[in-house]
Amino acid sequence: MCTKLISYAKTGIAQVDTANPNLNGTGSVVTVLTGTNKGTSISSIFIKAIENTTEGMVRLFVFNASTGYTMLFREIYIPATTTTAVEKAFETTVLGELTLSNGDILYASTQNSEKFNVVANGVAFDYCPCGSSDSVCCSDTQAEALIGAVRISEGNEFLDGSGTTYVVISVPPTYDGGIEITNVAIKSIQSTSQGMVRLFIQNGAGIFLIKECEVNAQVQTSVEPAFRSVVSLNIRLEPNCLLLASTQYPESFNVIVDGIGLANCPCPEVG
Amino acid sequence: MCCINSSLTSKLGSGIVDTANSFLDGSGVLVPVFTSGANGSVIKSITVKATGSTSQGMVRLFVGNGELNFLYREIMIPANVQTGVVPAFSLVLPGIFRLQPGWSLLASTELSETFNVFADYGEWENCSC
Repeated sequence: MCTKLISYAKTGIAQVDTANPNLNGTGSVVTVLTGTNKGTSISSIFIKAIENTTEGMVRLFVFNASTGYTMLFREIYIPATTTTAVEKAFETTVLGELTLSNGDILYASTQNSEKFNVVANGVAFDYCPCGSSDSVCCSDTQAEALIGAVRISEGNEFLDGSGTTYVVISVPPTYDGGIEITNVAIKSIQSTSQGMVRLFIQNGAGIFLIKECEVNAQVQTSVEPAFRSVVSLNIRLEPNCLLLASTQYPESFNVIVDGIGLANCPCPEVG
Repeated sequence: MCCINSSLTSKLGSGIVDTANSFLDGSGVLVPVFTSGANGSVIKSITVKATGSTSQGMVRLFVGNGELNFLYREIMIPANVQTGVVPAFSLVLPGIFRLQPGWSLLASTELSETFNVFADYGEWENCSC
């Protein structure tokens, strides 16, 4: 058996919407991500409201599989915000390393009955499945530059993933280590009115808003550039996930991602 | 035994744009600066250098896969009179950007003025063992 560790992207996504004022882990909580065999490391967590918010709290809990306790890990204060075509819904990124042991679970809850998407940007570790000996297995990861680019143009006001969305990049299973995405560039190719470009992640469970980019009213001419913005993501998307985009108004934007595809090295002895 | 070593070979891509093209949708005359190699490339910086006086205009950078071209950046060009003691317009865009294998960096100019566009990049190569 090979005991060298390799890593897999793990993108944990959940939507919380049932009010729960408890800080002791009881009441309605949803699973965001579960720790796997040799541990799962979470580097950041996105919290994104998909509707208006009132003052409240989103809470993150960790279930410790070895003790059986569910413990409050972080509280994220939610301000009152009104989302419009030109004003973002609440969003924040919780930074800081959190490691889940095998069977540990990251849960989330919301103080008020309002919808929030919670996305954990994780990396799971496991023994290389090559079946070769440690002296032969390299356990390393090969990387390849990738581009995702799409032109979005059809207006879509929805934050819940309905309406027209466009695929910016998909993660094929061949990149079993996932795709690292640092930034998303949003570049209009025309004059723009004040509006919004939205970024979503799609997995087998649905489509989840993760970020909104406010678009300025800007007149493009031969000497004035069209609108451009860069959204910082710093996420490693797991295989079979899609990054999607939409635009509030029917105006054309290029949405461009430069990523790194990560494939765990197929040692000669595999299979 | 398997090896995963990756190497980056430093390279310089370059193109001369001089044909006016006012389009932002990737049509019209675009000049390739370089095309990414077998395992992709990492652009470290892009330099735009005029070779003479300029009027107010724009240089545009696109990424394209041979079928579609996507506007990525616009660089505002100021009016500038080049002399023996005043340099022609120049700008360096720093920042990492990665290009997938087979994709190209392309450039265009709003006005019929000549600009050299350089891309300082590394070509990625994974060991194929």
